[in-house]
Amino acid sequence: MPAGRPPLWIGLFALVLAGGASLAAETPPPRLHGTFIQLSQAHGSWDEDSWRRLFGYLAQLRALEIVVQWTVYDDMAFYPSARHTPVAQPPLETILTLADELGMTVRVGLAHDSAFWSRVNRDPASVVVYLRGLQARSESVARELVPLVQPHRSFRGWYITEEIEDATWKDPRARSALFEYLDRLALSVRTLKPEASVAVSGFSNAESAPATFGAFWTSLLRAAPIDVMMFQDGIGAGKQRLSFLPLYLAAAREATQTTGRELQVIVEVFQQLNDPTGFKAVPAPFDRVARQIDLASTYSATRGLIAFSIPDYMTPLRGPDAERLFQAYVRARVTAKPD
Amino acid sequence: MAVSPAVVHAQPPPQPATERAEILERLGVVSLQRRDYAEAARYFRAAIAAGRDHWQIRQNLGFALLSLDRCEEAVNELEVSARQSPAPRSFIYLARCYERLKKPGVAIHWLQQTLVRLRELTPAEQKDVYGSLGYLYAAEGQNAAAAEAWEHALALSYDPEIALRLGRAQRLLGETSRARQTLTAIAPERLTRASRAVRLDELAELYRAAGQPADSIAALEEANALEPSAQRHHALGLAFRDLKRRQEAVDQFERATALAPDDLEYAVALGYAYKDARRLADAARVFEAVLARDPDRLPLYQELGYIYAALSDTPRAVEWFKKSIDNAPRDPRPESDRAEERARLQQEVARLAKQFEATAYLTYRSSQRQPNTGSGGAVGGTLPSQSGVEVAYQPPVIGIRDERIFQIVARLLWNFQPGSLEVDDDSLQAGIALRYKPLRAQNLFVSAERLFAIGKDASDDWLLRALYSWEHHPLLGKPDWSHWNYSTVFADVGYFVERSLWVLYGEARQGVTFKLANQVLLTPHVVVDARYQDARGPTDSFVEGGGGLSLRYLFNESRYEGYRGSVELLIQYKAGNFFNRPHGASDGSFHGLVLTGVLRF
Repeated sequence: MPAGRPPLWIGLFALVLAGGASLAAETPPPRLHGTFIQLSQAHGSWDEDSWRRLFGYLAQLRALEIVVQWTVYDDMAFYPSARHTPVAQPPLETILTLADELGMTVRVGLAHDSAFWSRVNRDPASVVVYLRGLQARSESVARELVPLVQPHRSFRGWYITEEIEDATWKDPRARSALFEYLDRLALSVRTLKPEASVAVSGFSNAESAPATFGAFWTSLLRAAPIDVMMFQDGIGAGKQRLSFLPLYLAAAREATQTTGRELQVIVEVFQQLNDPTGFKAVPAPFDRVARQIDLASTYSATRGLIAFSIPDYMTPLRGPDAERLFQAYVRARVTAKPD
Repeated sequence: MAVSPAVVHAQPPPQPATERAEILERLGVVSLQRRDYAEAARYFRAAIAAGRDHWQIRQNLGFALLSLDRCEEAVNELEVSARQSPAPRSFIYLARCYERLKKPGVAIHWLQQTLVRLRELTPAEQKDVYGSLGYLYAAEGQNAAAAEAWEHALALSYDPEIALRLGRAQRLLGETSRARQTLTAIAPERLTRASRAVRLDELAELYRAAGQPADSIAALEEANALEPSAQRHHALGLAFRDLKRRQEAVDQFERATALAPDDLEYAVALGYAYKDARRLADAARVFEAVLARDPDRLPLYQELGYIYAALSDTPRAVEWFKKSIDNAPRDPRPESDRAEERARLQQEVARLAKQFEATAYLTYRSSQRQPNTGSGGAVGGTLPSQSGVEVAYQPPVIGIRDERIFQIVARLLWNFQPGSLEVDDDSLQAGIALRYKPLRAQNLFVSAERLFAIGKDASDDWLLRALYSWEHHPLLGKPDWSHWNYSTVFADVGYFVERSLWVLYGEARQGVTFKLANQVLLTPHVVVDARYQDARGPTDSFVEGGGGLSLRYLFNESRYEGYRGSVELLIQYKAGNFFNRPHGASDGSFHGLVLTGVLRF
């Protein structure tokens, strides 16, 4: 086994130690409660050992909630699907099994269309039609997934993969189409598994004022039975700055409190690079991540901080910078005593 | 948002500082007053590094950086300044920076903070704050808030550009008379050329909404003369379309699409304009190009189906109708509307794609005194027969062209022995016909038929016919309908050439159809039918009427053509009278049960 890749028992041991430490501590420092896993074609060739190594690190970080960002990407399925083309070694079952073993929870993302952003920036009448197609697609994926997730106690609920931001939905017709889409899809997946909660994520480009952003989300949450709003802090992608992020966090919190829903904050642990050829990012420095965590923790529940994403930017598996972030976080937030 | 460079401060520092730092700050202020922002920024940074740090120096440094368009750096300084002292000018500068950084939401936040301390600003700055807030609110779609901000700005001093924006916001809020008042009060010569054109656009919208299309067109043409734009050509096209000036509408939409080829709204409008102008091939070309780029424009699929049908390109018409049927899961309308449309499209496909159509019927009348006619509609009609089979062949290409239909029809008719279901061989009658539907909208067929006598009571003759039918009964109704109206009218006029014999037959039914199950329909109805024949003919002229039930079972469902077959049992009780001779009863009257089975596929 290569150095820096601990077996699962080390992760479990760390989990126990950290749990003991937290019992002894009066007020543990704010921590990331979980992470997204963004599945790609490369994950289709991971064997179980690879997943166990990753989950070992997740356990060391005390990440207890996994959000699988999607289970179908375009036509590529990450579970044995009859309707879509599965990758060579579909990983969803393994993820759920490891989460069962480690006492983690898993939120399972539905279908994602890579053309989403271009398709929603069109005439609202076309957007309505497009969203109806997405709805049918995600519903069929959920129907296929139910027998697979059913036996796993780690399964917590569904994640609607479309990310909702504040620039696209200004037109009342488009907004109405979005609300209807979320309402129909959330109702439909609830019917399949009533105890599973439904989450959707959103972010702000600071296109709308914080009050407008909050009002938009209040309307959305009133229109659709979404249980969890996952607010992306946008720091890594440069959509937000730490100076004005609290304005939008406060607006998100007010929207969720007004409507009686849960708020989780997605902490971006990467730094996007200025590359015109496409999305490229590197692990963020720990001091910035620490400030993001501290800020987010004042607006969401203790269990509300989700990293985007530990597997990509915060484990030794992803290179020296990611290892540095991993080690700094473990020192400061997992093993350190509170101030 | 304008920022006055005169608004700089060199107050005594709140903290003791070194003399060097003080000099550096003063040099910065002098550089700022000389509008040498790079030098000013350098001196202010040096002063801060030398220990002279207070909110004003940060504000001045922020302003210098803002003036150099280095907004990323400027916001850091201005946020430090705003934290140290909530000065409204820092808020204005921050708003300006965030607007440039494409964070208008944060700009709104800082301008809203400014409103709390508005009195600390000069009237010009206050107006600037309101003007900018109005602009940012409007960009967010908050027209009421925008209008309110601009009204505040105009109350401070009149500005035609702000008045123009206010007029637009008022129009979008539905305050048309206020909008018209605001816009007409603006002296156009005080606006820029572009704004003069925008004012005319706004007036054109108001005229159009007020039902003054000629004024709307005049305003748009004037705006286009000032500054041509695709949007103005499009608006002109819409105005001409409303006036049914089709060629001018086409011209304007063509110009709009030429100027903005990527705007699919303009392309769709052009396609419909071509269609209205009966330039169907052009309309098809445009619609197909739109769908290639945006396949979610569902109404265009069936438009293409109908256009190709009108162009007599049946294969393409069928292809587009099928695509339209396939779109049903993506159609956001209620299920009942979708089902109704699906049924209509399936009928179109069935009508266009079918090559063979067969009908067989069999009638039993309980009384020998009743006439020898069945209820087979067009199969029997002018030829009295209790039973028959008809096969119609619709050849490819020429079978259907722009709703005109051509068919080759063969039929065999017969009667039964009195009081039985035994075929009366003497009555066997065959015929081969060419049938044509010459009108697009009316279900009128004309036919020429060669009749062959097989039985000795049948005819060898030429029969010329005109058949007309009208019906008002959706085959399956809507999914949520339990019952619906049922009305049919059928008329048949025939001329037997060799015998110079005229025959007329007509039938009408009125009832209500109940859906017993998905494929089972029950229709209680009243019926009246009549037949007239010149006295030389061997059969009777009569009129009869009664009531009955139709029980119909639909089968052989196809995805694209719906139910292609049905079996119908008609149970009717009819009474009537012969016109020209008694047929049994001395007074010529008759009555009895009529049972008919009809198979269609």
